[in-house]
Amino acid sequence: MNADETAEEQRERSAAAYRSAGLALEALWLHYFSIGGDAGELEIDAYLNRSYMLRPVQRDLLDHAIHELDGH
Amino acid sequence: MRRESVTGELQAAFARVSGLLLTEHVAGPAIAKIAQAAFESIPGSIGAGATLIDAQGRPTSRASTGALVEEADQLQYELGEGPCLAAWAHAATVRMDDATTETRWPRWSEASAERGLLSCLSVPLLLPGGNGTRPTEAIGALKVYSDRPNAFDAGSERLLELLATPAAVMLANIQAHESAEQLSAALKESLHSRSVIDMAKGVLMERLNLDERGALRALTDRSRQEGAPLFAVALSVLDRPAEPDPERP
Repeated sequence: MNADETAEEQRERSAAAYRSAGLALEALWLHYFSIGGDAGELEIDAYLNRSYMLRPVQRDLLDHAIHELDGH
Repeated sequence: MRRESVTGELQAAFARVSGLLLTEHVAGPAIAKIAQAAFESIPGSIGAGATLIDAQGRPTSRASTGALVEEADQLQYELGEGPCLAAWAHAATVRMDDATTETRWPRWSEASAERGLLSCLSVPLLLPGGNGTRPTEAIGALKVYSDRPNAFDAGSERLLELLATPAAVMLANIQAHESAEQLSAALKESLHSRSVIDMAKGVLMERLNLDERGALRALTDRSRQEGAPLFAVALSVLDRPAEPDPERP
């Protein structure tokens, strides 16, 4: 996670990681929720499709949720 | 009123089926009892079976009162044809009076006749549509078999249809109950994990004078470095070993 990354760059990176991991949206949302995420599944879907922007903490949480589901 | 044709045996079967809701929450035993109830309720039947069928036409759960019925059922799904699949697909009652002259499912009826199952009656397990736009939804089929031709008539059709209605509702309730239980277990776990991570975030904000995002970064950085889940890192921040909670199995 790069501290200088812009919101759009982070969204782009998360979206790419989500796609390459081949995760189911529902499973991703549940994990994101379980580590503290507040956004709904629809918002997550829109964010990953680049038509919605999440707040910084929510972006970081989603990014980490993708990382955990992909790497473990 | 159709209810006038309900026999004492069928009333007993209803009681057995509805009592099930309170005592058993597993689809397998439930459909076994439904099959048994059909077998006992329909005069002339030598065996019965009940099957739950998913939207792709695959049986997900089934039960029968004997090996012969089991075999005949299995053949339907292997061959992709037969009265139960037809009853499910068309959401309508299907009757086969004589397997030796049956033409609708030539391969299956030939195999069925070879096993001595000569007539068959199958009704769909129908659920009333939830939102009113779809009238009904077929979730499976209930059927009885006989070793002689023309064993079933309009009266047996009515009896089996009467039995199928509460059976379908009961099976749907059981399935809904099971998924609700699974959901609530996952939800409980999620909420527990959330609160632990939130607390750890608060502790770090206070301890290291960080804002919320900074505290979260401290946690996620450690999680990635150590290859440990965020939840485990959060637990260690709270200085509590990941001991099993006595309230959780």
